[in-house]
Amino acid sequence: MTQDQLGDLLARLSDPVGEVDLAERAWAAAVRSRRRRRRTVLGAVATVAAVAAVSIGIGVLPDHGRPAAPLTPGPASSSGASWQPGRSLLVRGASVTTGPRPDQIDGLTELRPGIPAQIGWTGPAERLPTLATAAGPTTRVVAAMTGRVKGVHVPVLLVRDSRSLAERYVQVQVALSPLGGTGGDLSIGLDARSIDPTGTRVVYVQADRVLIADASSGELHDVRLPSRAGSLTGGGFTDSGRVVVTADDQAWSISGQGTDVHQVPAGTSTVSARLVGDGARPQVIGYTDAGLPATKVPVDLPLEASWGASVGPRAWVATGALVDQRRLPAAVSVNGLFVASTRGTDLRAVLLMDDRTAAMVSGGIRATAWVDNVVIFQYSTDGRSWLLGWDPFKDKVYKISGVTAAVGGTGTRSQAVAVWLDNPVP
Amino acid sequence: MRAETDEEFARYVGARQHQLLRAAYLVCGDRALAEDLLQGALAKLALRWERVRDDNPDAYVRTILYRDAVSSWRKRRRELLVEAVPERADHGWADAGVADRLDLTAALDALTPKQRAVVVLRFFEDRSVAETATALGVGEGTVKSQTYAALERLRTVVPGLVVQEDDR
Repeated sequence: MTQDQLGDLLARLSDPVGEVDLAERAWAAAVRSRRRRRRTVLGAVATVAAVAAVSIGIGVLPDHGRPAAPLTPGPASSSGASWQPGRSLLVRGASVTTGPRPDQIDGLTELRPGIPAQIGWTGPAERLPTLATAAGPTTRVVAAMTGRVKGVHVPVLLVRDSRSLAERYVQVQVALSPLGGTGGDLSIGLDARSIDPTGTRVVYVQADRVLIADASSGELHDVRLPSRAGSLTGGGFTDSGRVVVTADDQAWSISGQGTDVHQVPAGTSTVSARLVGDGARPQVIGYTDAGLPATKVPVDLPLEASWGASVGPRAWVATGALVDQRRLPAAVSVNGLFVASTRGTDLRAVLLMDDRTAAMVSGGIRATAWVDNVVIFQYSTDGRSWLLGWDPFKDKVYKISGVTAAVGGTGTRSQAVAVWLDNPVP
Repeated sequence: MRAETDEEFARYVGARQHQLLRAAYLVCGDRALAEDLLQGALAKLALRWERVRDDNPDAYVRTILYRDAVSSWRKRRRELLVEAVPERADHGWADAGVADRLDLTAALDALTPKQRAVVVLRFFEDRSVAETATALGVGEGTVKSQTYAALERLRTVVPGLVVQEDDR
C-alpha cells in the first residue's frame, strides 16, 4: 500500500462527515469573545481605580479593625474584587460558564452564609476535646469532617454554642472505616444531608453501620442494621429529622436517636429531586414527600457522571459531575457544577471548574448545600479545597470558606466537609 | 470588529470548512467534537482575520485546529486508555470497503494523539514534513520519528499495511 492509498482510505473514513456552515457561528463567537475581553479589561481598570481612590481617601483598615462576619444567612458580599466570567458558551440551550482558576479564588467576592471563612482542624485530632465536653442544649454542629488519631480516621466536628456563638473543634471517639472507597481513598460517608435540619445531629454512614452523633447530649448512636441490609452506600437526614440510608437495592429509615429502624422502599431519597447521569442520559428524578421516586425527566446537559449529592429547592436541582467532553469544545474542564430546572427547561446551566494544568480530572467537586439562589459546593484541586458559591441566575461565583480538612481523592464519593447553615437545609 | 460576518471570511470558510472538518474528525474520532474544535479554530481565525487574511490563513487555522485537537483528544484519551490493542477483524487488507474502514479506525485508536495528527497531516492532508512540523509546533525530526512509530503501530493492527515512506 502506498501513501496515496492510505490517504484514500483516510478520506473514505471521513466521508460520513457531513456538510456544515460554520462561518457565521465562528464570526459571532469571535465577536462575543472580543466584547467579553473588553468588558473584563474595563472592569479591571475600574476596580483598580476604585481601590486606589478608597485607599487614598480613608487609608487601609488594619485586620483587627474589620467587623466580624455576620452570622446570618444570605448573600452578604464583601467589597473584595469580584469575578465576572460572563456566559462563555451555549450548548443546546444550556449556558456554560468557565469558573475561576484556583489562583483567582482568593479574589472572589466573599459570601457569609453563617460558617467561618476557614474550616478544618490542622493539628492531630487526639488533641481535640471530645464531643461530650462541648455538648449542651444550645450546641449545634456547623461543619462535619474527619481527622486522624494514630492513623485512624475519626469524626471531627466544628460545633457552635448558639447563644454565645463560641465555636470549637471536637472529636468523636469512634474509628471510621471506608465506605466503598476507591483507589485507596477513604470515602467517609458524609453527604449534603449529613447534618440534620436543626444542626443537632450528624450522621456518618459506614458500610456496615450508621453512626449518629448528638451535639446536644454528646452521645454517639452506633446503629447496626440487619445483616440482610448488605453494604450501605450512603444516606442522610430527611426534613423531619429521620435518617435514610441506602444499599444497592434497599433503603432503611432510622430515627434521629438511632432507634426505630425499619426498611423502606428501595430508591427512597432524602431530597425532593436529584440530577443524575451515570453513563445514561442525564435526568432529573423527582421524589414525593415520602422520598419515593415519582418522575424521571431527561435533561439535555453535557453531564457524564454525577458525583455526590444533589441539592436545591424544589424548583431546581444542582449536582457536581464529570463533564461530558464529547459535548463541549476542546480545552475545557472535566469538573462541573450542573443545575437544572425540575419544572421544565427554563434553567440549564453548567459551571466548569478546572485548574487547566492537568490532563485528567484534577480535583473533586461536590454540591454541599444552597442558600437563596446560591449553590454551595466544595471544590478541591491540587491538594487545596474551598467552599464556593455559585448563583446560576446572576452568574456569580463567591468564595465562602477555605477548607483545610482532609480531602478525599478524585472521583471518589468522599466529601471532606458537610456544613450546616443557620437556616434549615430544605 | 464588525458584528456582521466578513464576506471574505465567509467565502474562505465556505471553501475550506469541509476538508478541515474531515481532518478534525480523523484526529479526534468524534463528529460533534470535531465540529466544536473547528468552530473554535475558526473563531480564533476571525479574531485575527485582518492580519492573517493576506498572509496564510490555512496555516494559521491548521495550527490552531491540530494543536487543540491533540490537546483535547489527549485529555479524553487518558480516560479511555486501554492496554490491549483492539482485535483485528478476520479479513484481508486488500478488501476495500467497510471492513477496511473499521480496521483503520481501530488502528488509529491505537495511536497517540500526536501520532494520529501526524498521520492525518501527512497522508490525508498530504502535507510535507516541514508543514506538518509547523502545524504541530515540533521539529522535523520529531515528525519523521512520529511517522515511523505511527506506521509501525498501524502495522501491528493491520499487518497488511505497508506504506512506502518518502522524505517530502
